Amino acid sequence: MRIGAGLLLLAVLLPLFIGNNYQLGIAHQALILILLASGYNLLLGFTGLVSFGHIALFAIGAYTSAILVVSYGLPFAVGLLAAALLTGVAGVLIAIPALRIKGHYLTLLTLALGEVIRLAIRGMESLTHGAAGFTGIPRPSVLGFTFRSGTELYYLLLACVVLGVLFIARLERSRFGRAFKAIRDGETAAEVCGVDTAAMKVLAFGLSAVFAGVAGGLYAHTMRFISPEFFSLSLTITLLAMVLIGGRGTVLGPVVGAVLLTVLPEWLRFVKDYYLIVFGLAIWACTMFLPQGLMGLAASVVARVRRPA
Amino acid sequence: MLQTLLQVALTGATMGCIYALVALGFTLTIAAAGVVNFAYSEWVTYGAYIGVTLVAVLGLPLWLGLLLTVMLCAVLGYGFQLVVFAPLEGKHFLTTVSATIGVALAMQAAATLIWGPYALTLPTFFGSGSLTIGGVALFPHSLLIVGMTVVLIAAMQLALTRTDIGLRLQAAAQDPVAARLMGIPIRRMRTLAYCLSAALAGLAGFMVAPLFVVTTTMGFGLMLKGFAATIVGGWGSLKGAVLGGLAVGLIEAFGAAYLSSEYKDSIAFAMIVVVLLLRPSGLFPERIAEKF
Repeated sequence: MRIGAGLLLLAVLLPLFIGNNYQLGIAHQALILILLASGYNLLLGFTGLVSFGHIALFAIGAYTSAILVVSYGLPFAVGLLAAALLTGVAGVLIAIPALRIKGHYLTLLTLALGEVIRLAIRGMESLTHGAAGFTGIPRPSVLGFTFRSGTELYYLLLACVVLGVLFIARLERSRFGRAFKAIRDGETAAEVCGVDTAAMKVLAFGLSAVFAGVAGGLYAHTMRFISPEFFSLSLTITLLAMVLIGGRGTVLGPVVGAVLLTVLPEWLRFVKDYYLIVFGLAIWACTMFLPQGLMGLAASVVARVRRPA
Repeated sequence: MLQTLLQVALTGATMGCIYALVALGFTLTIAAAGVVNFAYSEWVTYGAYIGVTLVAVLGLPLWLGLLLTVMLCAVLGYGFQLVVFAPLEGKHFLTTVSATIGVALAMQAAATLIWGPYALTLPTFFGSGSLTIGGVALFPHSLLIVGMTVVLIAAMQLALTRTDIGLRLQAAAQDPVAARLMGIPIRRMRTLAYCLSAALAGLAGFMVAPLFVVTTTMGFGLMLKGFAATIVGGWGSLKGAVLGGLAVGLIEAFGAAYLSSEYKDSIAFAMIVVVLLLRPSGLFPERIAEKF
């Protein structure tokens, strides 16, 4: 809780310290990815379902909002809401076959579904402009106010992130959060204890999809350009790494992971290829030596300081 | 009409054999050790790059290059067993997947550093000409791929069912605990499986290189097709991997020729989805990996 408040204070004050639009742009990306990673963590970290198709949901959200706002002239709020709804429905649809299969089958099924969706988006040229990408997406505007400057946009995104993270923090303590974790730790045991595992898995898929949809809609209106190439498997791997390195199954883990993995590549731009080697090895080392990620490490350090052995 | 049909069938069979080799190596570690190896893509890529280095840079004859590539890849597999897989034994699926993904990323970036970002090429055994028989263009290299795959799979089938070490490998795969009680060294059998798997990956990389170009991402694309072959054929089944690979290659070629070449890349993924929804055990299941 205290760490969360500290991070929030830092985030609120951040625009005072970064001057140029380029850095603000990176901050925008980090905020959107926090939202995406937090939703993914619901699935991967809380419920223990390894989906590799999550980026496709992000893409559906981005394209839904872009198409509705640009091609049909609807307001941003409607586009974003529709993105959340449609992506949520897509998440539930993916969950239905996913109920029958487990483990690696689920991972490969979602990977394949994600690629099919991405290629379908690329193929539907009249709707999505295909491989050329979708341009001219307007900045968000709500009730006549347009978030035109980088700083205004930053606070809009931050507000969404705070709402999202608070929702997950609340969810974790609820009966649903406990049910998710029970499924992760032992599905049969959870079932025996009266958890409706099927319903809970569908709920986890649906909720994480809604997060992806909102993040996608915000991404489209922040970047103002989207193309199918962006939503590829390498982004799936980055997303996985954010949750794993930050700490899966913790509320703040994806936040830390998303910020770290968005900012670090920018700082280490001058050693690009070496960065990727280190990035890969970091994922490996993290899964081997820090299975609970950085937040897990922080928690155990705090516990050790408080109770010296 | 018939010529087109034959041409497409030949293309499909060639790619199918490559997919079969890729899927076979990929399945071997699933069957023998229960490990889904996402770094397999880099084994294929490194096979191709090592081949290019030996043949194009060091000027070795092609056959020697092929032999050395396969051997070096087997050594790579041995190293992997020591560094990556031994500590992963008994760990959760997510741990294995993310650890191997991390290693794969690092290896891919290292390949860019070592061999540069530009595509390289590897010559074939027979030059770039093609024979034309009855209006169908035949690339000798394609025929070599088909022939080599058939011989290799037959040899492997014989080795697995007729030799002592093959039977031990099967036993270790089917029931590690019982096999250990019978005095079979499980660890050594798994090491053998990793070496064989990497050797097959290297072979696939080397053989496919002249058909396309060698890039740092070539292995990843092939591994995705290998996934499809594994799912279509039946998880952990060696027979299924081969038949699944052929099925994916043929259906992809016919789909691209007669339906839509634009959606060629999604055919393999669509096959994964359809098979998993309708028949999750695959089309040619085998009992070998049931314990996992």
